[in-house]
Amino acid sequence: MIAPLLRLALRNLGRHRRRTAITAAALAAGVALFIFMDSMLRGMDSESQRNLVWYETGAGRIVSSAQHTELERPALKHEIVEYRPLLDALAARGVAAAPRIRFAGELFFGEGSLPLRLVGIDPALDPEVFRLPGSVLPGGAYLARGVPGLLLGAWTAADLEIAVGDFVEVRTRTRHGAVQTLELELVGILRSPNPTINRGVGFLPLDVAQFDLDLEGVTEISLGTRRTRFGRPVEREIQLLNEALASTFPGVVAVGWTELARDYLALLESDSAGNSIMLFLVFLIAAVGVSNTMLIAVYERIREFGTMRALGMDDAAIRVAMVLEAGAIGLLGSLAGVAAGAVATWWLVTSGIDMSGLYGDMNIGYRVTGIFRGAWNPGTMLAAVLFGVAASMAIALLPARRALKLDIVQCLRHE
Amino acid sequence: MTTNTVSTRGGMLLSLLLLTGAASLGALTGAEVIERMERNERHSSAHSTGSLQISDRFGTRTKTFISTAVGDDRSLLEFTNPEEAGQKILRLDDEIYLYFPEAEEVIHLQGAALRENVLGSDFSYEDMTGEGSLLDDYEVELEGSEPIDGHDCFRLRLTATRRDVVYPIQVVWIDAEQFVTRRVEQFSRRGRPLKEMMISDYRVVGDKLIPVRLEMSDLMKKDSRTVFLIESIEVDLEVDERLFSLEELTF
Repeated sequence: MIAPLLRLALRNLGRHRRRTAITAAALAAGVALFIFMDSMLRGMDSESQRNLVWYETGAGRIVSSAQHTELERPALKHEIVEYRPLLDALAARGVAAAPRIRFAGELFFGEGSLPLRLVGIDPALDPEVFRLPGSVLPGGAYLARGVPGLLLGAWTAADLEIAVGDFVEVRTRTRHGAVQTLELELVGILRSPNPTINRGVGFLPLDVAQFDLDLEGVTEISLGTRRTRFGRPVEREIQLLNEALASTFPGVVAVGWTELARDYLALLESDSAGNSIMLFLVFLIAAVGVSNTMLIAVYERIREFGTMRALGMDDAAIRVAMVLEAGAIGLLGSLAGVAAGAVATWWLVTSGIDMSGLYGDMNIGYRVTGIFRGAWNPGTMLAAVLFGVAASMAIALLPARRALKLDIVQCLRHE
Repeated sequence: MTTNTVSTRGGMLLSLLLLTGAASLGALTGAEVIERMERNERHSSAHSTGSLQISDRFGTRTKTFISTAVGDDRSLLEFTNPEEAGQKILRLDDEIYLYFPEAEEVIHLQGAALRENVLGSDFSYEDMTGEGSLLDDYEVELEGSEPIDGHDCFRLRLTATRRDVVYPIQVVWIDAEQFVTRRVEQFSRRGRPLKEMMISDYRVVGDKLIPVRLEMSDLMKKDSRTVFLIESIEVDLEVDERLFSLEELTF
């Protein structure tokens, strides 16, 4: 029963080539736009999370139990004094680890000064967890143990009009609260894909920070991503690590990056709701276009329905033939849309959109700067095809039903 | 209660010389100089009006205030200039509370927030706390004498005896005749000069010498200066203790 109706539907597609092409093109444009937008938003999310882990949080962090209660306020008084045995224990488990000291200060250069987040890092161990060395601009160098050098983000360096080789002063507090000043040479300028590194943060050697801040230990040990994955597996890794460390190192707690970046992830979550609304609107625009052309296509053929009914074809068969025809148009349009969307996504993934002109050195919340790249999402493409076909079929039902409510004579007289 | 009376400088000097006994100056140790200075400058309570003239690379701004203080650990300062009218700073021991009338909100300053400067001046909220004797925190070394603005002064080096003292090193110039502070330089732990305070005017109120013009400079910032001026002051008066409460702060 279906086969002859399917043949009829396909033959009708060929008979009304122009109408078929216009309807399919409207759908293709909507599907392509939907895939492109989805790729861009998904790309920003995944690249942003990756940059967060690579440059800010690592896969996780070990902090003292006291610091764990106020993670958002790092304090030198919560130092982990016996951190070397902890590093050995982590190495034995095959976990990459980098000790760090996080503190705040005020940077002075020339007539300017600005508040700065400072991080003491071990130049040898830190690259095991973070990707700072690759962000040092040409002409600069990475930090060296024992040398009072400073790495500064490119946007901060531009704000202060400072260059490699210049000396800056930092005013801060020691672990006990006494005012301390550090004189540091700017050895390198960082331009990272993560905007939070480019402004408002400076890095100096761990041993220099320990000496000047009157510290014996470190404020945290960052954990590497080598043996862990993003998302849920990290939480499992952290749980296992906490169980393993509990007996030997009772004063410390491992925290996963999802907990460290809780505020950022909450922001992403609210953004995600906005993105869904945007994608829905894109779909709605496409659906209106398709329904409009489909409506015209059905009304144009009311006389044809009258002839078919006069020749003895029942209403149900005509309705099925119309729905199949609409489904075929939906399939053609969706496939064309996926093809166009795939080309656009390929370009977005390989080249990306350079947003630096629009956003410049502004931090918009996402951990992405300059070029926004897309991400492949085969699931969205498949869903777009299925949705395109289903929506086209559903949209065709209503005008077909109305047309079939007319009697045969009204159909044949329809202008 | 002692009223605000400005004596002539000659009379003040005479009375101070009688009080201090100039003949014994040569035998004083650094700690004794500090003790004499603190005895001279300290008072049990004070009510004053004055202003802060804040100068930096953006220009000069003037803030006026009314202040009431009892002992070393309780004070209430209310700004009266139009921009900050009604803003209050309450100090209770080492705790600082800010009140913003437009928001009708009290903020308890803690930790690093205490290091912020008061209205962009060169005084931090932290500078308003910890008014105990210098001898509790520092070892005093009498380095010699130097004239400051024509006044013979003892030059004292104060080195913190504990690691939690905010300014690990201070050099203080104390007037050898009047036993008042003329100049203070504060240094970081590395010995880098941080702030300089010059006290260029005092007022005799009863048997006390009250500094009425302080000029504070942040030596790490260019052209950064705050002049603290006392226009009127009464000391050793009775003050209603209820004034120093969070309830009164928002009243």
